[in-house]
Amino acid sequence: MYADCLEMTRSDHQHKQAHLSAEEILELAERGRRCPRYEEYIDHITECAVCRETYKQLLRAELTVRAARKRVWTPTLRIWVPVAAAAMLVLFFGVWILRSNSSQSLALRQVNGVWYEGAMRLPDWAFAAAAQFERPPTPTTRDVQDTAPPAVRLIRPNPANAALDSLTPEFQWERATDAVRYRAWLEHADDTLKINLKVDGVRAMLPEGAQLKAGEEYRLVVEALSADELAGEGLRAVYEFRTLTPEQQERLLWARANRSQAPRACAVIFYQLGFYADVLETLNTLPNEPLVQQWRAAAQEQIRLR
Amino acid sequence: MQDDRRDVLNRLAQEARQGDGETLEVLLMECRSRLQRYFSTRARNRDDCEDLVQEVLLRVSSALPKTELNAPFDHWLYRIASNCLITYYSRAYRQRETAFTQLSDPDSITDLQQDSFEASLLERVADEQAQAMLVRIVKEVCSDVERRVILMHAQRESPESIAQMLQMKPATLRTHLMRGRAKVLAYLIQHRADLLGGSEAIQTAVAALERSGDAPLTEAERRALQETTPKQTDLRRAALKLAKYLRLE
Repeated sequence: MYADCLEMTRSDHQHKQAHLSAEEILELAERGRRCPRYEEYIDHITECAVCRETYKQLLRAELTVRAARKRVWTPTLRIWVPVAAAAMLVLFFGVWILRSNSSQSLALRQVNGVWYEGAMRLPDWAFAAAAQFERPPTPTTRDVQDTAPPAVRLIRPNPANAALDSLTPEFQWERATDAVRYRAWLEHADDTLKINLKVDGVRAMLPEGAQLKAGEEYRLVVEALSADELAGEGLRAVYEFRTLTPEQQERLLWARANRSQAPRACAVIFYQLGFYADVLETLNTLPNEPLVQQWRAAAQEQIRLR
Repeated sequence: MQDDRRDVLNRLAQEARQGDGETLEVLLMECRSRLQRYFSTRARNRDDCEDLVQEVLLRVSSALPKTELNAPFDHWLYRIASNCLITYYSRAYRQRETAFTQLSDPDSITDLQQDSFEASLLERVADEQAQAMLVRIVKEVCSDVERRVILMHAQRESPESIAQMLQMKPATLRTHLMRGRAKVLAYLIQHRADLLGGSEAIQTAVAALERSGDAPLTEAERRALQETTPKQTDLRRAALKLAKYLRLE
């Protein structure tokens, strides 16, 4: 009775006079509301019992297929997700252990007789240094007597370093209390030579045309004079440095240029040359593993001894 | 184009039913390509797809001569195909097909099925002319979704089946059904009280409601029943409460 009644109301719609094709109904069952003609199809199905029956049947089949696929995937995922998670965990810890225990062997490798640290090709002398990274120096146990802080605190070159990176160095220090002027000079370690430096405020440099001898040891003396003090009466600070040989200067330049690519080799080279501040700076880029800690302790000990 | 092919298919089916063997061969060839498309994305592998196609074609060839087609042939074909598909998966997993109630919220379905206090007003209409008029009212006052829900329900589709077809949750279906009914009843009370037996019948329904012990009408709902331009929300609430005490004349 209702079907008849409904038939009466559809005469104004052309599409409602015929049945939908099975393909159209299938498209509706497959795509649901995403079907481009959803409104039209579902309106027809609302009123057409034949198409509705086909739609219901196709919909049931679609739901059965979807449910079956879900049944297949769910147990598979239940097994594989924990397995994958466990594998990832093992991999993570494996990498972590390898990195912490054998960083040296991972860092150094030989290809066709050439040594590399990471991707950095090492000269022979740099390889020797890199190989030495596994044998950090034993920190000395010498006691250092507590001394008063220097009257004049040197800023440049870094007093933590035992060597000068230039034969024509420039010096700079912090302004001392009550000081109105300064005197500064360099003495050869064996007292055979004294070079008066040209002082300009808190800076000093070698006289024009002068330069230090390579591979020698020098003492820098800075004297701070107050207004009523004469030369020789002021407070003095003494710093000891040595200059580098040409070969050492070449290694220093190489190490400073490649410290990020070959940090282990460079840290050892800096240590050998007496550039302890550079050693610490380079070690800070490495993981805090036991070898790194030992090298850091050794460099800090050298700085403390200065 | 598609209609032409459907016509050809229907004509072939009619001829095949009358025992024309060659036509049956042509028909089955035509069916094969459609079935392969249908099963290729639904069966689990190519072999199963072929088996399913064969099974459907066998069923078609054996059932066609004995069957009075009350639907287009392509509908009949796809119904058989989907039946085979459901059986195939049921066999594969040794269980019956998944009922819709297992896929969504079964509680809401039960709730809706028990909601029989208000048997559809449309179902009580005996006169065909009145039915047609009610259908027009439904189309006029209800939204698209409410209209679909009410008309399907009027054609004795179960709530879970309607929810499945319209791809909505049973609770949502219930909301649309109740809202649609409220709109239709409110319209009848306000504009076509004569179909309900006039204002006297409405007052009788109010009295019956009060005697029943069900939730009584609020003051606002009483007012809405008497006013000529009532507040629609109050009128609809009142209409739903009175629904089971109203009769179409």
